[in-house]
Amino acid sequence: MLVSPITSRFNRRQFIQYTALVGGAILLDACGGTTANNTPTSAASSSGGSSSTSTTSSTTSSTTTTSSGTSSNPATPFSSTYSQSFLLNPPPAGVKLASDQSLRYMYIEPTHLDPGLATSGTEVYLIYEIWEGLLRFDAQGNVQPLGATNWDVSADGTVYTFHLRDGVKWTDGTPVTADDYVWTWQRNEDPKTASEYAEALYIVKNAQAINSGKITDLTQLGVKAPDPSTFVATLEGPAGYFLRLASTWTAMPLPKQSVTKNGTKWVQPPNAISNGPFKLTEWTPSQQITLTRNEGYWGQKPTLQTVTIKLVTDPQTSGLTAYENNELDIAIGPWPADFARIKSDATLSKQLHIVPLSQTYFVVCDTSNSSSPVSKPEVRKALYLALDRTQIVTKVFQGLYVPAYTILPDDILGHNPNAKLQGTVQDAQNLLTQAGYPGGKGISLTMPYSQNANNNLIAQVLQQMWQSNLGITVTLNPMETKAWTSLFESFGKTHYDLYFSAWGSDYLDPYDWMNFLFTTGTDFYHAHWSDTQFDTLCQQAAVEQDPNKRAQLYSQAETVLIAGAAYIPLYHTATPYLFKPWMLNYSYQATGGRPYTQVEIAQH
Amino acid sequence: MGTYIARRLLLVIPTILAVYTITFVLMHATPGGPWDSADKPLPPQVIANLNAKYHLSDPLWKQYVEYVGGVLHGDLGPSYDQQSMTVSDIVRDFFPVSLKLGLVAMLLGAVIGLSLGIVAALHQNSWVDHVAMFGAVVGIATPSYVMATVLILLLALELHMVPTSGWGGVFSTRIIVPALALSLGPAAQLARYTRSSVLEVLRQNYVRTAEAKGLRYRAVVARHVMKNAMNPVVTISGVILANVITGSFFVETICGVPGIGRYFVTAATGRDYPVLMALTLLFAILIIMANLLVDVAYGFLDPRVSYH
Repeated sequence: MLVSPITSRFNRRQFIQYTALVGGAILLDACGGTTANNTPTSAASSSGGSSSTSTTSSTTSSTTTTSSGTSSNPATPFSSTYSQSFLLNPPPAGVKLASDQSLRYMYIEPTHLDPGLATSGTEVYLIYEIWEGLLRFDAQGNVQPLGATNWDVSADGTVYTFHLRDGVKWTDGTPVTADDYVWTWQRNEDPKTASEYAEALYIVKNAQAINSGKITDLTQLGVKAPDPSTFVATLEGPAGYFLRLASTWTAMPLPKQSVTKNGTKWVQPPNAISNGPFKLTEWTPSQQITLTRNEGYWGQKPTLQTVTIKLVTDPQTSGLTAYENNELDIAIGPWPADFARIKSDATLSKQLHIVPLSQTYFVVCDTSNSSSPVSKPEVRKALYLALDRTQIVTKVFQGLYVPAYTILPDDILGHNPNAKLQGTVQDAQNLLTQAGYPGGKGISLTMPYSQNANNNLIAQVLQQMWQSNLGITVTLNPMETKAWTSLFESFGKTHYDLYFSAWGSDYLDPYDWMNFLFTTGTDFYHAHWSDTQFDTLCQQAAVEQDPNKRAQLYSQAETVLIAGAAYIPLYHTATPYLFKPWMLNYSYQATGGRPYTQVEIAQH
Repeated sequence: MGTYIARRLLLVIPTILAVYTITFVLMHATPGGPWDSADKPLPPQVIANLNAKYHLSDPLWKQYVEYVGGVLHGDLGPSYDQQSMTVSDIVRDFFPVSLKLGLVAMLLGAVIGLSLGIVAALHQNSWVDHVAMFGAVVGIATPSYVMATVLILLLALELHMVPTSGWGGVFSTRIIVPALALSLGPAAQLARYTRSSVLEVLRQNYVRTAEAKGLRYRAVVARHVMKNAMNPVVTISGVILANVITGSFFVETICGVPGIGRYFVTAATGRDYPVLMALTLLFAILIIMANLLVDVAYGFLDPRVSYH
């Protein structure tokens, strides 16, 4: 996903574009051997316009799911080949637990905690602890049944029948039934709810028509509850990623009794009725959120009794001070001014943990701007070669990031380090001469960006390296965030020179990068770059079942992408965390994690 | 005096209307809207639904009138950003915090600033004067966020006298850091104004007369100098007070105080129109009230001023 600069809001969206085609086969690691085939779907709609990648849905409809009637769970259609997950501080044998099991954290205040409306990481990480849906995926990509014990998929892959678990209750004591699911999905697609995330469920039959107002009868949505413990979802077409979708927050059931009575205030305690491992017991605006263990939870209850989240505008700065004062158990970075000190501090360096993100920063050039030097591929290649990424990463970002010579992060299938452009600064200068700009004379570029501390660093280092290594002139144009976003949206129709941006995976598949961002029909970044070979490779890879062939196709596509030099990769990012040594058993996964359910606090 | 105040209060209405109109025009003329996100742009259908829900697709004049109608009914609108709170909730929950913090900071600032200024003036050109004025310059030059950070490091991390952030009400120790940090600017300004004002009054003939008559120095200062020196100080205090009450974004952010200051900035950068409008109007009313208070105070302080 497009990543906002590190400002006061972390916007990390997960699982947004489910109208995407997810093709390909993934090997299940744990079960071993079975291959799940995802059926390509025709894209219902998407802001990116995946017209170039739509295929017919009829022919290859095969999943490893058994025919309806059996009670076995269909194999998970998706698991990542590489995993960013880790388990921190597993409890040593015989460790004594503290009598006060409470965890303290500090983060940005969520704008609300409504699973039907949430879009950003600020809300989602809490929602996963408080509510739960039909199922979830663990760090290894294995499916864990939650609200549903098992499910069947019809032969054509369009009807999913979930059998719900007995004994799952809302925190007010009433049972969670299939009607809750039906009502919630209808409510989330209701245009009056105006959910920013409504598009995620567009794969459900009639969802888009309802959300755009073409159908006004909500009961036309492809969900029904033939009896209180069966929930049936009918899709527009087969979609191998549907289970992933069903595991996200937007598919979680909501307490109708509270939402209808309390309106927008239903997310405030005591109205925030939930069904997950924790309850929301306190939310003092701008001050604190408290979660308490849900004693009525059907499954394994968390060891933690309370989780306290202090709410601030700048969790990195305020959090570090508080962490060092022992007021917090976890602190999230980055801390540009303190990182060197933390790394060299004897105590803190042991508590530091750097989590790599599936995210890349890169420069985008307007290849169609004939009045700009960047329309020439030699100039763009020169810009690529003139950057010393190792220096950028070590000097400017203190070794926190990883140089990127290709676009895909290394946890995405098809990552191809061989696609890197070879050459030195000298070669870059020769390319400029070839293009008609000896010594860089005549090249004057303007680079706008959204102004904040992090972006200022990036912009300045790029400007400095290009100016000193190539002799060109780069003018920076720092802008206010919304003004920049407005400008970015206009790049579809207007010309520019270049700018930098970042993308992070919504889900761990190359489709979310190659097909979704860079193909001719999508051109998410308005680079106006079009290559038929690239398009063909991506289309083939989208429907390819064999994971090896798929990896090969995407690797080739990456080579074409880098050779085109419309996108100049810079580095992959990571987030540093500090964990107190008595905080045990923190399980992190790239998406869909709920670590607080596992955490234990040792005596200290 | 009563009619004067009544007349001033009536003038509030056209002033606020002018502020409202200018703000409304500026808000909608600025590029970028509330749903433009630095993340993935929202699909057009979702944006259409959101605009419909918040009446942003209505013609501008209609939105202009609707807002006024809403305010007259006590409805300040929803917040686009904080979806579970209305603007009234935000103002009701956070403004009192800023108000209390601002008043405490102003009190501190006044006490420190006035005493420093008076002492400096009475011992003009002595070492006391130089130290005090140097302190005032440092106070004006040091940004409040630097002061806040230094105070946190000192009082919280080194001396463990207070927690690093948070808000516990007016009578808890947590107010020390933000109040001190906020009071620094006002204290320094007040010190300088007081000093120059007192110096000027000390040169007046009536002061010389009083001394010649044999009054003790302290009586001269207390009875004749102070009241007359307060004029410029009171003038500037009005605006300083309004500024301090509306909260400092930096101090509130660093010290974790749940005040209204940060909403000024986040509403502007996030194009949260209802919050932005409500806060602008609030600030305008505060300044008007502060100025009115100052003008009324003249009536008592300065015998040359009369409102009858």
